[in-house]
Amino acid sequence: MASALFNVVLTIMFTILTIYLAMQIIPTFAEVVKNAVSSSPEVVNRDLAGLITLSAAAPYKIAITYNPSDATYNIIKVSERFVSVEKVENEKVVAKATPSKTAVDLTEPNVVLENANKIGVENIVGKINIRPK
Amino acid sequence: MQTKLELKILLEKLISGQNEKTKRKLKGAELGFELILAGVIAIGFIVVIFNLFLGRYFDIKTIIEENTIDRHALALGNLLLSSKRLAYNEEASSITYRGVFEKAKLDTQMISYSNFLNFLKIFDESMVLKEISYPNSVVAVSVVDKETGEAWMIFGNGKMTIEGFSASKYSQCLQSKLKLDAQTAFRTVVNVIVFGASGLSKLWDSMDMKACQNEFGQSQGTAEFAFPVAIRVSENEVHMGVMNVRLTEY
Repeated sequence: MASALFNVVLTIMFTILTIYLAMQIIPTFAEVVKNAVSSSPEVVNRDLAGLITLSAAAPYKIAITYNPSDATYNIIKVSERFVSVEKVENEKVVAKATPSKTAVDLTEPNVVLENANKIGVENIVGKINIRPK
Repeated sequence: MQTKLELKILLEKLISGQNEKTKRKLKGAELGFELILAGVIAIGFIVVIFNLFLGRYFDIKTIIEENTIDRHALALGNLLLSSKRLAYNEEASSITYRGVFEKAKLDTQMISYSNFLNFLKIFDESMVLKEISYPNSVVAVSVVDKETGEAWMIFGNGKMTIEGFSASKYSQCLQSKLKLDAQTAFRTVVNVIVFGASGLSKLWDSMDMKACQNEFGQSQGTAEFAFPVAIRVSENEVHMGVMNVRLTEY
């Protein structure tokens, strides 16, 4: 009887411990996945190309701050209406994405942002620029 | 005499016993070292096996599923609605009225259906599409005044470059996804030995290859969207209209 009771208590404790551990691990894992996705060069590339294009739709002024992840840095190149992004870790390119298209030109023809983390996209009366923030 | 012999035997036993103990001690030390070495090798072996065969399953891959053409056509339509070349612009305040097209600008920038001679403009490069268009795309824009039936259109293409073409994009995608780490090299070598040249496909992760193929497929096609607009005919007259944007990308 005592042995059966001990087994039941042990099972309950084990279940509670498992649930507790899962509750601790799942949010951390979800955060890791979220960061990995939002800082992926493919995502940054498309987001940035879309933001540059849509900033031109603002009839007067617009300033957008884009911060995909605090922990990642990118080399961003905009040339001939193509945006390309390379992810940098420890001063080394670890991933790069195929270029994405924009429908408008930037005021400067060729823009390169080294080690960019937070990026500002501005359209001031038709003059579109991107710069690190 | 007997006592001496017994003492000798006792002494010999004692010495041999000590030797046994020393031996046993050494044997224990040897066993311990062997066990540690075997343990380290076993753990190392498990890590190598895990890394070579299972490690790739723990990579996080980002695969974007989107309809690029639809997204681009919608963005293009929104840009045209705000274009100073089409939208009404109040000179005094230099405010551009988004979505309110000026008839005079439509007559200048687009080809009017009602004016036969206007069709000669088809050979001219449209300034609107020069300013607003995606590279490697063909765009057709039409504006219809729903109250009078009057219509305008422009047709043209964006900058043509090799970079944005699907085939080039596909090869660039594959190039960017190429893996050259130890586990991929091992898998590739094993696959090339077993399956021949087709084993080289192991240089890419199957998910990455699929993503590149998706990109290849997504970047081709046509999308069409309609946007409601107002057409300012004169200072006191504004008509309801519709703008159709048709975009084809290569």
